[in-house]
Amino acid sequence: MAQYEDAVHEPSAGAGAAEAAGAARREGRTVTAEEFTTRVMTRLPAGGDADGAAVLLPHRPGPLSLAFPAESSQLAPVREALRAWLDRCPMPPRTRQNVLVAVGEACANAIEHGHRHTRGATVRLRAEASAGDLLLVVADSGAWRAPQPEAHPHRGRGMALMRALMQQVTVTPGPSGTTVEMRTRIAR
Amino acid sequence: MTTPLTLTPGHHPDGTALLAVTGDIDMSNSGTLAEALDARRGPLVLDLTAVEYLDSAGLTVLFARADRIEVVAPALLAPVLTVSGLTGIATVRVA
Repeated sequence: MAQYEDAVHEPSAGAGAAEAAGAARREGRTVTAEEFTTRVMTRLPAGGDADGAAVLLPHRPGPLSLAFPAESSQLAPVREALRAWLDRCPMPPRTRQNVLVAVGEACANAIEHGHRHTRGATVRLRAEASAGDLLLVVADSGAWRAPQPEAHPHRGRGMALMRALMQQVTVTPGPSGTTVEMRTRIAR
Repeated sequence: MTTPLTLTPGHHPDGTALLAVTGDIDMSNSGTLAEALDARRGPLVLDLTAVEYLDSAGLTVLFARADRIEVVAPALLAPVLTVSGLTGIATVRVA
C-alpha cells in the first residue's frame, strides 16, 4: 500500500489515482491494484523522473494455483487460466509464449503419467512471479519415465522444448509422483 | 472433449492444396490435424497464421509429413518451429 501513497506525490500520477478512485466510488466498489496502476501509468508523463518510475515497478500478481484431473481435455482450460494470469504479469510476448508452451508440455507429460497409473489422478500447477523471475511447478501423481522416443515420439520432443524455452528445468521423481520445476527471467 | 480446432481446406493461388488452421494445437486434437493432412495427397500449404499455440504433439504431426508440407506460421510460433528443428527439414515461412 505504501507504494500507492508514494505515487500520489507525482502530480500527474495523483490525477490518475483520483480518476481510479472516482470511477470506483461511482460504481460503489473499491479500486483494484491493476486498475490503480493502469490509471496512474497512463497519466505519468513519458520519461518521468526516476522517483516516479521507482514507485511504478511492474505489478506482479499473486501466485496461480490449479489442480485438475489428468485428462487431455483439461489442457485448453488450464492454458486459458495461465494466459489470463500471465496477462497480469508484464513480460515480452515471446517470453509469455515460451512459458505457455513449456507449462503445456509439462502438463501434457503429467496427464500421460496420470493416465498410465491411476484413473482420476490429479495434476497440480503453480505459477509464482517475483520481480524478475517466474517459477512454474507442475506435479503429477505418476512415476517418472525417461522419454521413450519409439513409444512416444513427441514426449522426448516435449522435454527438449521445455529445456530450450526455460532457463532452468528440474525434474524430481518421487514415490508418489513427479515434480517439474521451471524458472525463467521475465524482466525486460 | 478436445481443444477447439477449425480446419479449412482450400487451394493456394498457385493451385497447391491448402489447409488453414484456426485455434490451439495440443495433445487432445493433434490427431484431428493428422487426419486432415492425410486426407490430402501431395504437396500442401499448411497455414498456421491463426494458430496461437502448438505443442510437441502437433510438431510430431508436422515432422511426420515434413517432406510434403510448406508451413506458413505467425511469428509467435517461430521459436517452437526453430527449436524443435522443423525449420531444418520442412519449408517454413514466418508470415
